[in-house]
Amino acid sequence: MSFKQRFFKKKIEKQAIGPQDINHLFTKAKKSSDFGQLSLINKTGHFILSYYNTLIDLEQFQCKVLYVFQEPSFNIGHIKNIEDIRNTIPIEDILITDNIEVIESKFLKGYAILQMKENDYKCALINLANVKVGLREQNNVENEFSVIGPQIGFVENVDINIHLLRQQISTPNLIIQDIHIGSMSHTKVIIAYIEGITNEQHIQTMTQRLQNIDFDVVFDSSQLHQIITDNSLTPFPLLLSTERIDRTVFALISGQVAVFSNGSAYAVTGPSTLLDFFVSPEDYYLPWIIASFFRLIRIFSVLFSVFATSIYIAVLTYHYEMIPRVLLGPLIFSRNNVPFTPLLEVLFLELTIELLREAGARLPTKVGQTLGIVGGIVIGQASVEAALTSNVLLIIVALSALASFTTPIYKMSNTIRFLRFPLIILASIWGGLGIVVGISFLIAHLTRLESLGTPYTVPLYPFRRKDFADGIIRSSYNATSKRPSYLRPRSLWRYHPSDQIKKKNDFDD
Amino acid sequence: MQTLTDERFLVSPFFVFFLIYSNIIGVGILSFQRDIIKSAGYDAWISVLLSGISIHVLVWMIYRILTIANNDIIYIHQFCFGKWIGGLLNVFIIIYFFVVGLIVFRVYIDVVQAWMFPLMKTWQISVIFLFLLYYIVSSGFRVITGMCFWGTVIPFVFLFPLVFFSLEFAQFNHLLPLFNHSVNEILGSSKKMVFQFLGFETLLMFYPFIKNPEKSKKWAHFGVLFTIFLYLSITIITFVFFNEEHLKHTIWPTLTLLKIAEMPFIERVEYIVVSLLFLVVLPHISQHLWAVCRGLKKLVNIKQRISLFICLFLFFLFSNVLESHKQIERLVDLYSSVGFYFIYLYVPFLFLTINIKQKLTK
Amino acid sequence: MNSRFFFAVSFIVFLTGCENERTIDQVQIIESIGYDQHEDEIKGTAIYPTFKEKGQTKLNILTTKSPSYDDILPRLNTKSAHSIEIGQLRLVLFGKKFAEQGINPVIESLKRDPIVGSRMQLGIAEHTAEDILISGEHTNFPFHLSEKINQNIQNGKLPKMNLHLFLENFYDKGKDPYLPYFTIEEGRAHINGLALFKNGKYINHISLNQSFIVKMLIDGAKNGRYYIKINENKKDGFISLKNLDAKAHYTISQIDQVPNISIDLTMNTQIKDVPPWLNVTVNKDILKIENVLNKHFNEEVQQLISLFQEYQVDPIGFGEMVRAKSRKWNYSRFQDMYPHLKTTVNTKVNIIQIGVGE
Repeated sequence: MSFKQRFFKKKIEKQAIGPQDINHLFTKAKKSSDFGQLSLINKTGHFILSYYNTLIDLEQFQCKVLYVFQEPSFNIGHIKNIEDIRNTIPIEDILITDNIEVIESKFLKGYAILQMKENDYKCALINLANVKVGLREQNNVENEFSVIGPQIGFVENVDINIHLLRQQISTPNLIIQDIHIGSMSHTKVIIAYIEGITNEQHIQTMTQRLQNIDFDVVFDSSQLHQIITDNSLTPFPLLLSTERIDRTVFALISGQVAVFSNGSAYAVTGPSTLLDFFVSPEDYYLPWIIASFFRLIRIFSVLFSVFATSIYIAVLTYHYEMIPRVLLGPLIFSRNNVPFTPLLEVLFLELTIELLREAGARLPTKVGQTLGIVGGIVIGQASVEAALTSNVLLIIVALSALASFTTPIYKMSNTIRFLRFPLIILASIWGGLGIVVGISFLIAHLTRLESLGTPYTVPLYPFRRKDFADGIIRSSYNATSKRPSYLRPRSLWRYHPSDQIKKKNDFDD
Repeated sequence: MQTLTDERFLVSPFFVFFLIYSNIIGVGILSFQRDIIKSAGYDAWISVLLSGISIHVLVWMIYRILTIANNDIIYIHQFCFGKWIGGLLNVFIIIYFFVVGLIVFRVYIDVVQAWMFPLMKTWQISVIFLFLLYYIVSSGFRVITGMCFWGTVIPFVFLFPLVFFSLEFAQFNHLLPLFNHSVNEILGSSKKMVFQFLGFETLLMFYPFIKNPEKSKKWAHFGVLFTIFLYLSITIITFVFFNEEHLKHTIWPTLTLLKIAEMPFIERVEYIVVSLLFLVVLPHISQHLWAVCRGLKKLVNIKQRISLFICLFLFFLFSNVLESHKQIERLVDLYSSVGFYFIYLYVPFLFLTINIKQKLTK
Repeated sequence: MNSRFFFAVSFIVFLTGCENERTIDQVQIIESIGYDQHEDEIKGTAIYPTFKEKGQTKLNILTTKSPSYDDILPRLNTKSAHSIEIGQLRLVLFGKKFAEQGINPVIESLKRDPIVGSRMQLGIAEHTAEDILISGEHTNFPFHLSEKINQNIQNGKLPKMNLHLFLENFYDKGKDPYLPYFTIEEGRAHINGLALFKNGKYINHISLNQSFIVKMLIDGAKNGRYYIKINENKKDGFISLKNLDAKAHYTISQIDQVPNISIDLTMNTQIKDVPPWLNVTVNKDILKIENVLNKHFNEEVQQLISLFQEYQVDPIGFGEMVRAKSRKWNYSRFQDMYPHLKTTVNTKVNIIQIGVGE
């Protein structure tokens, strides 16, 4: 059964068993050594503060709460009932409730429980959560680097992320909705969109899918991505995850919906199309002619990476007539003592490169670099010398491995690396026809894919001529003034392009 | 106008261009030149033009029929001829579409066996083909249209420029003297040429799946125009490349034409051509299969998935039965005469009938 | 159940492609083949390259004899460790004796096989094809004979030819095919003109200079070289021309009776060498040179055409030209008329440049 079905099915069966009342909660909490209870005795009764001392900010607790109570001018008589606490304690987020579920969830998020008397059901929840400790302070984007342009990205705290977002999108139309997902983690998940631009259908689909999730601990927003995805049987990522602020902002102002999850520095935006994965923010910071050229190079390198090795296998195994006369010598010579068929040669080299890549990702930094370089060069050279592979093939495999990393989004480069293998196997069975069979499968598969309900291959297949201004090439800012129409935004114009004033010289007189 | 099918399954009228184009262009483009020179010799390019123009007229007629009925041909038959005769005619149409798909399927496998893999058995190539067909046809009409789109764009961009390599050896003298044949001979070649244009009849089945069908009329005509242009250019290039006697001895002139292309990094491009032809043939066959499944569903209400399985199994069976070239040729001749009468006699007949029926029911 | 069935089927399917494998280093790629008539049998010689050391090729020879032509390739297979493949075949040579009996069967089989390329070259050897092929063995340059032909087509005196053009001329009733004619000179294979064919049988051959004239008449030359011997006022000398650009234009009249063909040959050329008694800077001398050249070419072309009429072959394709202009074309009538065809030649030579020195 697919990943998605498993999570959606079990919802009905499980019943949450929570504490019946607050004493029950305290009994359970007392078993942990980080649970603290403080009682401030006064004439009329006790003020009992209960908290997890690992979750609260002790400094705030001491300055804002204890100080108030222990100040000599404090008159305990002012507090007749629990609502007066709000006027006493200088903290803005105080909740007065007797709902045990709310009490429990807030308690676990770093709120302190204040009871007027022991065994009181109604209590005040004071927000003393310490959100900064343990989290990364600097927010450089390491994985989506660009030479020009801002280097700041998101961090693992969702409130800081929203702060960063609101700094760029300075309009009250940016609506933030939060829900909590995860039966054990109660992770705060934020859905962000710009009202008046985003189509309500997308918002609804996204919200509904997120609300239907039943999962225990949400580690990262990529997990949410996988659970809510339209089709879980595909290697293609259907929603875009990014660490960069400018990419998320761009997605929002085009009419997409963004999802943030607490504890994850990656924002998930959707609906996305295939060409979105080849767009780099650097394209917008360079002049449009250069940017279009590099975008074309990117697309070409992806195609090369997917097809190069399979074409090599097909031509060498089945279609030797296609080799031009001058290449025949070097190719035959390079394969002279290799005992394997081209298929095995290619698989051997491809697996070696994958091995190097995986190992390089896990080695400690100091050892990793040396081993990577040495491994690559030495293994490559040695295998050619030992006649286990041919040197022509080594170049092709190395180039295609490099070329697969030209996509700005990491998830897509994984897909490309994966796609190579079925094509290699098909090429080794049926030669050129096998490659075309693989292409047909790929095209049929891509055409079937939908991201949040919009087709994945737009603007290529449901051919929309007007959306090509920012597809394969990046046109000048005068031409990209409209939003892409496949997102069906409520308002089409982003800005109004300036009129080009033609400079006149003496020739025009 | 009410839509008979769900809005989500419709395609915009622009795609009728690609649908018509991929339904007409199939494997015929590889070997049609030999048939048309039998009657009109090297004036046969005029026959190409004439057949093309008649196809335009027929498409116009079909559009009139469909606009009146606003539904597909299953409904039209039942509307015009009543339940039993209409049902019988529907069965014929479904068998006709099935046979078309089968012929294209088998002929393509034949081309692969002749040019690329002589040792490959028929059933081996058919199995992989059948997998793909199941995957595409079961995804619905939108995906089939997508395949038509890609199956038009990719092969055209890669293959059509290759044809111009052969102009290095062009001798325009072959075409002279012009108009050296009688009108009868030219019309005889037109009759043979019409066979190459067959295939657009699936328009009768997928009409309800088009959004704003009135707007699609111009795209259908563009599609036909484009195929005429393609056939005409290939005809003329073949004629200047081969002389008449040589052409009579070549079985697949277009592929032999492409054999001569030579580029610095690749030589014998006919392997690429035969492989990319797969992308051209695939949407053609899947369209027809889809028409068969849909027709069966509307006629006898079988689930489309089951009828798809049955059709694929029958494809497999029949393609293994048709082993030799001669058997295929006989089936192709039968199909070409049936197809000819279908579009030149039956479609005008249907046109008149539906007009009369409409006036009667008013 | 479904997925297991598919899995099993796909497994079987995956094994299917293995029969067709022709991995590049597991096949013996033949680059040239020669057929000779040896008493009653046909002798086949094949050359294949091996690439053992980096940058070094070695050419190897395989020969076999057989009573029938079709058996040659299978017999060669028995002498080779890898299977013989003719996909990269670039040259087929025929010995003169073999060609005199007709090369039809070879042509037919080449035409029917999709694996041979249309740009393949064919040739006739003066004595035996085997000699020509063996003479090139020590050069260790693969495809060198077919490259020789290609290079001479581009930069030399041969008209355009390959398998496709040969088949065109072979089937066309208004044209007759021609092939390069190889001889051995000082141990090396040497293209010594064109061999003329009729109905697939070798008739005769013409010299290299005459084949250049054929090239001018059919394709038009682009950068040819030519030298003529002149005799003016009892002084001998050679004029040599380079970068010769020639184009022929044909006008046909009187189609219904005996056709009258007038050939207008236009040439733009540069002077390479002149005899010392001519001065290229003087206009008068240039006009004199042009006149001499005009006369020379007129004579040569007429002689050549008369030679063709005598041999009853038509490589230039007059039949095709007449057919293009006439409504009722009858080949046998043209064949009877061919020796009586009237041709007039007008050559116009323009000397464009005379070099940089004086």
